[in-house]
Amino acid sequence: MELNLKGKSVMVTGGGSNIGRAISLAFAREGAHVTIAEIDAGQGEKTAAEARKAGAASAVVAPTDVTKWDSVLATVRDVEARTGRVDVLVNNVGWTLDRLFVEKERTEWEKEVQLNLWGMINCTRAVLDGMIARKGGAIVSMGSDAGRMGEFREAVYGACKAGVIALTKSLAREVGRHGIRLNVVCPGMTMPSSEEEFGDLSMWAAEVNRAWGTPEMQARIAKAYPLRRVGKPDDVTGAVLFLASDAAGFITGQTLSVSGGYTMM
Amino acid sequence: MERPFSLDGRTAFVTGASRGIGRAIAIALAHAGAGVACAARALDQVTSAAAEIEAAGGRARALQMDVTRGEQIQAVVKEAESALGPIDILVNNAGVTLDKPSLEVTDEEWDTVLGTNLTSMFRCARAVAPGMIARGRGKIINLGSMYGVLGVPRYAVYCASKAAVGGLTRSLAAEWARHGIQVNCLAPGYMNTDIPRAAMADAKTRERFLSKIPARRIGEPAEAAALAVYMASAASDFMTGQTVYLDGGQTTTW
Repeated sequence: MELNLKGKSVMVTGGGSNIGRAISLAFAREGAHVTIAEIDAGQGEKTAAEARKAGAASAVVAPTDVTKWDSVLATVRDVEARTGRVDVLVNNVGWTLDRLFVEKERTEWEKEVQLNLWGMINCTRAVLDGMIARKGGAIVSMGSDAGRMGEFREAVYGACKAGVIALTKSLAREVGRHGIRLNVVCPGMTMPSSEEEFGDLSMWAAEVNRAWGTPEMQARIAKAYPLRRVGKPDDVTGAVLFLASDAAGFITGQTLSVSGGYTMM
Repeated sequence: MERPFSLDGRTAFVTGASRGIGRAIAIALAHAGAGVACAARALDQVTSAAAEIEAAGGRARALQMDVTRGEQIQAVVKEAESALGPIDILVNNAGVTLDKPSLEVTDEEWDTVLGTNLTSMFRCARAVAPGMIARGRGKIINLGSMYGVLGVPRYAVYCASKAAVGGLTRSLAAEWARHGIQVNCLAPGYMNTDIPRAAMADAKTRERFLSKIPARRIGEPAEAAALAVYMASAASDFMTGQTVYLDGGQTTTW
């Protein structure tokens, strides 16, 4: 199937680590211009080098703090100046700490809201002017089954991801008439395959989250998934490429759980 | 993942492949590399679908089958497998609709719609699943509808049948996940096929339809076919039990 992503300008937030890295490389293999919007420029550069080898039309790191409007706007203007436009935005940045609601510090909640929800609001707002002017564009945001079903130890994170889904649906209604599509992909628990695949600022570097990576915990999580395994970063790239492409031209406002059957609704 | 959307070396079985969305899906699966068994009641139309695939360099087989005749399904699946190889992909597409006030719907009409839209899907899945389980992989795509989540006057039996497709999809997905089979539901909204096209010939009706669709247009069968290719390919190997609405944003259910 022709996805026609060759030469498209794609911006991936958090595109240096884990799922974001896999998404950047998947667009690279399709021959797209890939902009890795990263707060961790060093990790971003590692992924950009891989993306160039994989066939990207170009792969550039734009140091970006998605929680800061000025930073986001500067990145979008940079992409538009270099490639002429943003055809595809992937809102991938995400963050959580594995703790019960009542045990979390307010500062931790606030960081979750800033990164998971405000990051998506900022980046989406920043690309829409150009997309409306050009009468087209695709936005794919990473949600979570925690935002659809609720999840232990993921209360505020789940609330943010529910926000990502609802914002997607409302905007799909508002901007559908301009030929702009917004959809959400909900990955399952997705572990990086190696330490090389995430930077020091990634949630996977946080000490409390290391508990997820023990063999016992991995086995427990896998048992909860009908497909009987934990997610790999590449599991969602097919869905993201498809939704970003013209092949999905009539699909908007949808949420796809690509999570091994964990959530079916 | 290299070429995640390729279906090279795969074999698909598509019901209702004679026209509309089913035909478009059959052609797209073949274009992506699959050999495709095109099944439907109208032999002349599936023959022309298969001929179109072969003319484009693909592999296909036309098969006459009435999905409401349970005894035909096993035999036709066997015939498809001996012609094209073991079935890796089942597309349960055959369906009928009924536009009628509920008080006038007869028992026979109710049974025909449920038999065609729901029972046949279970029977076809049951016919191909043993082979998929033995080989440890398979894809089943059930055609649902936006009407499976909407309440639509005069469409009670059709809406009920399409809502039930979601339940069938989730249960089969949960039951066969451990065998490497993914089961998903492709749910179109208003598409450029015979019935909506006829309804929208009237300008006022057309405007009323389009005003409810955020994309301000109806979908094309080729777009349903692209979603089917995704659902049939390795690109969707970690997705199961899902219903994806292809409706220009009309329903946006949670």
